[in-house]
Amino acid sequence: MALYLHKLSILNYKNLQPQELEFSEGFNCFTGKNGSGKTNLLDAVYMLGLTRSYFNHSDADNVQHHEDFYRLCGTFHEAENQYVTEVAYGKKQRKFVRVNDEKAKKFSDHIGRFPILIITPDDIHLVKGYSEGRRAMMDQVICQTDRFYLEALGHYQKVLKQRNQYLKNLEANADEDLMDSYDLQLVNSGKLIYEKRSAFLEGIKAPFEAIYKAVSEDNESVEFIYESHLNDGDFIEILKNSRQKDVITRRTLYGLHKDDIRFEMNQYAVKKMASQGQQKSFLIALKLACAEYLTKSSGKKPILLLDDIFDKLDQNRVEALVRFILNVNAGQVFLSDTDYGRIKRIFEKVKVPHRIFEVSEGKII
Amino acid sequence: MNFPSKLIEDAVNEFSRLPGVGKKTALRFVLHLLKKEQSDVLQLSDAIKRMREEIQYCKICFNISDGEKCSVCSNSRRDERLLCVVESIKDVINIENTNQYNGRYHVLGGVISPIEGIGPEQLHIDQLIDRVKNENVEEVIMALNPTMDGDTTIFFISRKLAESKVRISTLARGVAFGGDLSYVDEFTLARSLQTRRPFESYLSKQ
Repeated sequence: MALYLHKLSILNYKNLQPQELEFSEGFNCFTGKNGSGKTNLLDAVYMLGLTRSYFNHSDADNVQHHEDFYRLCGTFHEAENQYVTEVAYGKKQRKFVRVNDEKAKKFSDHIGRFPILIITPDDIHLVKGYSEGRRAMMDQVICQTDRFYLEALGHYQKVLKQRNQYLKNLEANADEDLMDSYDLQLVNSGKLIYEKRSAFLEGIKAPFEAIYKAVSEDNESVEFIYESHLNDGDFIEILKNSRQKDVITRRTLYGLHKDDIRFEMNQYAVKKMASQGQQKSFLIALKLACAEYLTKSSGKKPILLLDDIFDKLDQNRVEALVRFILNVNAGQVFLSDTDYGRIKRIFEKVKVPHRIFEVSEGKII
Repeated sequence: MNFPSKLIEDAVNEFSRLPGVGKKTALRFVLHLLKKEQSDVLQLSDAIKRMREEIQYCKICFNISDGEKCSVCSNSRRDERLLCVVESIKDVINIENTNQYNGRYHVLGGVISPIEGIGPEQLHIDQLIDRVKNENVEEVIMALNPTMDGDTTIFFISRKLAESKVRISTLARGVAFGGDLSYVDEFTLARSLQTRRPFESYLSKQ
C-alpha cells in the first residue's frame, strides 16, 4: 500500500478551526468559497511533510490571531507502518517535528520521509517570473530525494554569504588566498549541486514531454534547457576569471546561485509566446513530471496537493486531468476547488476512492 | 521581580548577567552567599577581582597566563616542534585535559567570518606565521572547529604557511569512539568512509 495521510488534527493553524479529519487514500477534495480555508488545509499537509509552509516562511505568521502556538498532528500510513507526525510551533516554545514520539534532531532529517508535491496558481511564476523560483522548485524536489544535496546546498549558501560579505567589506585589494579559500569551498559543494540538478532535469525531460502532450491536447513542441554557468567550463576557472569583476561589483557574479531553466515552446520562450492556457498546461506537466521523478528516485509515491488547478478549465478537461493524474500517479491526492457540484459530478463518473469535504470559515461542514 | 533590598537587587542583577543564569538562579546564589560567613564571601569576590585584574594573555601563544609567558610556553619539557592552532582558550583547556598532547599552542581568537566582521587582521594569524618562521616548528596541527568558517581559516593559514615548508595537519573528523554507527549522522559517516585509514596504522597509533 502506498504512502498516505490517514488522519489530521489541527490546532490554531492559520484561519483553520480546531478539528480532526479523516482522509481517503485516494482523492480528497476540499470545496468551498474563496477564503474558506481550503488552501490552508493543503498547506497543513505540506507542513507535515516539509516542516514549513509553502506560502509563508515565517512561522509566527502561521499562528492564528490571538493565539500563541499552533500544532498539527497527522497519521501517515505506509505499508504496515504508522507514523504519528507532529509539527508544533509556539511563540514561547521552539518549533519541533516529532514522528512516533521521536523528535527530529534537525528538520532536514525529516524532509523526504513523506514526499509531497504541491501545485498552486501562484506557481505560474515558475513560467513567467524570475529564476529564483525555478531554482527553488529544483531544490524542493531534489532535497526530498537526496539529503546530501540539502547539505551541499546549505554549505554552498553559507560560503556564498561569507564571500559576498567579504567582497562588500573590502576597502583595499582582496586577499587572494582568502578568495581562493572561498572559491575552493564553493566548488566543493557546487559540484554535487550541479550534478544533481543536471540529473534531475534530465530525468524529468521525457515524462514532462509526454504529460504535456496528454494534458494540453495540442501538438506544440515543448522543451526546457538547463542554463548554468557551469555548463561553460570548470567552475574554479570561471570563478578565477571573474574575480576581478567580483571585486569591482562587490558580489559573486557567477555560480549555481544564478542557475535557471529556460522553457521553450516551438523554440520560443514560453513566458513570451504561450497563451495563458498553454502556460498552465506547461506548469501542470512540469509539476507532474516532478512527481514522477520523486516516485522514481525515492521509491515512494508523493502526496499530491493540487490547489485550485481546475480554475477556468471546462468540465471535460477537468475530468481528463483527474483521469490522467490517476494514471500517472496513483498516490494520495488532496485538491481544492470552489465548485462543489462540479467535483461531485466528476467523481460520480471517475471511479476512485475519494472524499469530498465542504469547507466554510475554516471548518469542514 | 521585586526585592526588599536594593543591595540584594543589585547583586541579583549582576549574577543574572552571567551566561546560563536567570533571575531565579541569581537570587538563589545571592541568598546562599548571604547565609555564608562574611570571610568566605569575600574570598570569592577577591578571587574574581584578582582573576580579572591580574590575568594576562601569553605574549607568545595568546593563551591565558599568570605572567608574560603562559605555563605551556615556559615549560621547557613541551615539544617545541609541535604547534597546535586553536580558536579559543576553551579549546586549549579541552586538549590539555586529554593528556595526549605535549606540544605548544597558538590561540587565534576566532575564525574568519566577514559576516561577523572578523577578518584575518582581527585574528592572531600574523603572529602565527612569525612563530613558524622563527621557532623550531616542524608540524602545525589545525584543531579548529569543523565548520565552514573553520575550513576557510585552515585553508587561508595553510596558504600563508606554504613557503615555510612546515607540515600541516588537521584533526581527524569522523565517528566518535565508543559510539554506535546507527547513531552517527550520515554526513559524518560518509566523511569517515572517504577519509578511512589503513588498519595497521589505526592499531599502531592507538
